[in-house]
Amino acid sequence: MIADPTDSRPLLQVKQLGVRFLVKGGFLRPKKQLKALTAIDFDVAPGESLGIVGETGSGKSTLARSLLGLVDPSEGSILWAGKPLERKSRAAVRKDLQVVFQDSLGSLDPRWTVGQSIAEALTTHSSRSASEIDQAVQKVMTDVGLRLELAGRFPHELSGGQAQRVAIARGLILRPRMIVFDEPVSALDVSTQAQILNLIDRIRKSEGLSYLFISHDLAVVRRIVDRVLVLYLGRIMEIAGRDEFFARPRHPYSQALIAAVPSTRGHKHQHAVLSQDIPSPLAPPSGCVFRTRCPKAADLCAATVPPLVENQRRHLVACHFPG
Amino acid sequence: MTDPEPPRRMLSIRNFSVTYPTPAGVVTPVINVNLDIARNEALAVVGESGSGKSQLFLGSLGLSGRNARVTGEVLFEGKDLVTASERELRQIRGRRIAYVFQNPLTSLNPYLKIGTQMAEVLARETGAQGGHIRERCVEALDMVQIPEGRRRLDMYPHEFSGGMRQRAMIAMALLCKPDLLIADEPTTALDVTVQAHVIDLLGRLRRELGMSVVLITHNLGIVAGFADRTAVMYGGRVIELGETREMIAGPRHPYTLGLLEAVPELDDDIMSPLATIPGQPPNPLQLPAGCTFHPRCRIAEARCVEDVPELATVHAGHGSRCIKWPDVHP
Repeated sequence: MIADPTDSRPLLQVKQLGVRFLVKGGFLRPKKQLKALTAIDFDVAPGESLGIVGETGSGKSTLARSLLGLVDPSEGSILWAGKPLERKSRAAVRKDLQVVFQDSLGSLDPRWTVGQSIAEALTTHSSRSASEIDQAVQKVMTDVGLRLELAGRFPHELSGGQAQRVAIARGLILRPRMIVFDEPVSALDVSTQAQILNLIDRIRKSEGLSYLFISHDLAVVRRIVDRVLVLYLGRIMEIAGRDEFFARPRHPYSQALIAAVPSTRGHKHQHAVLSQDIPSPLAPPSGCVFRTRCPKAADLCAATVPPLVENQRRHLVACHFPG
Repeated sequence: MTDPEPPRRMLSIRNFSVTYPTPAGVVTPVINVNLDIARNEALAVVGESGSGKSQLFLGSLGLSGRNARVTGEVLFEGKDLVTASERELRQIRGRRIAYVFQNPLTSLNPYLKIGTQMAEVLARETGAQGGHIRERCVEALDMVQIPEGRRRLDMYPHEFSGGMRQRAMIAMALLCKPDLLIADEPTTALDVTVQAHVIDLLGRLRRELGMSVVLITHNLGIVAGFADRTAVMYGGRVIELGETREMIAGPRHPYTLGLLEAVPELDDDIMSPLATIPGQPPNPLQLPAGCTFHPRCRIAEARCVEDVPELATVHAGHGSRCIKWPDVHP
């Protein structure tokens, strides 16, 4: 497994994580097993940001949810600062590990003012006085670029970008060590998206924060992560440092994701755009799960699952015929 | 600005405005828009949420709210849709002009099979009956590259992936072989891979079926390889209009330039922060005086606050509502 040489102790270690769900098969039919995640293995160092990339159905959100304790692992383990992340230790970790979801408006209580929503975590996790809480709320609102008069407003009075800033302020107020951003800009206008991306980048530099940034858009990911992890049907296809990944994407799936990024500069696609849809995770293809959409697929790919192999540039790829 | 080839016009929007009374005051989401769509043309209409881009086309087809006041002209083959009766509009909507909405999950009935919903459209709009219907539905699914159409007709919307649902909506719109397809943010909720596929598909359908297509979007990144012309909207007005390629290479309105620079690209220099447009889109209840964009504009000066700028001709076929357009540079 890769570990950052500058830091001997990763903040987060995910070891051979597997998550399975039982899905109803219909009237009098047996339940079916859905493998949402299989053999997920990666580390995140303190201060590091990792992009988790893949289409809908790739398992990105299940991974985020298992880190947050919202889904129980079926196999493997998750270590936080070297200790297993178990149900009973979650509460202690929750303060250090925060989450920002895509639908920020939906995650705010419509009856609470912005100020109350931002302060909620502080009132739950600490015993500070009202004036200390007020100060902390004002500071974090300034940090995320929210005008202070918005503290008295209700969620329905916010624009999409403001609601996302409130969600980020809620995540930041406890000064966590890591934030999981689950598609935080996918629902925003391009101009607002740019503001939020710059905000996340700035916070990370000023707070020394680690984060996981979940997204399907590689041009967005490229701006704000150190390393990229590509998921497909619950398996890791590729992991590499950002510059290495974008200079030499090795998995045909990563290459297709890069080709799909829209461009105003009229680039010609280097690789083919994926035409079919992602297969159902209830019936994943044998061997390499990507083979049904892969331009390079051969007999070997249907027979054997390709192992995740690392090269000298600390670039891991699970493909029988990597580029 | 005049249209270079007037006879090819298929839809002509003239001095078109939409006004709503609200308890807080009068809101005008569309202000005096002039726009032509030629036969077989692909036009992109770009702007942020609240720019009026959807209201423009909903209003043109008589789909504004009941309390809306719609003025101006929308000429479709010589017929003015603004003064047309509901009955006349129904002859045109769905059959001649199809509208594909952003969210296919709320547009599809979750309790009915895809095939049933498609057959309903065919029966209502064309009076088709019997065995033909299924054939035509399979054909339409085939056109949008949904394989095994026969089997898919018996599936429910939840059994389709997001991209497939969006394509099924497009297939439904194609059933009546419309002359104009309006796709309202068809890719916003989709994965980039599926986005690229839906845009490619719209381009191909337009070529093969000879349709005109209007693509409504907030992302200038996706229009580049698709649209012949692009109209950029802000605060209810078209603020720049021209050939897509030319406008992207040399935008002549500071807002268009801002939108372009805000799109993250794979070959950006990531050491410098992504360019942003400061501030928020205008409050429709209190539109700024003069140029509605001036509070967010980098090059605004005193005279920008005085009058609403006219659409100035940059050259034939390219207009900008910015009095300082010669000063707009990346």
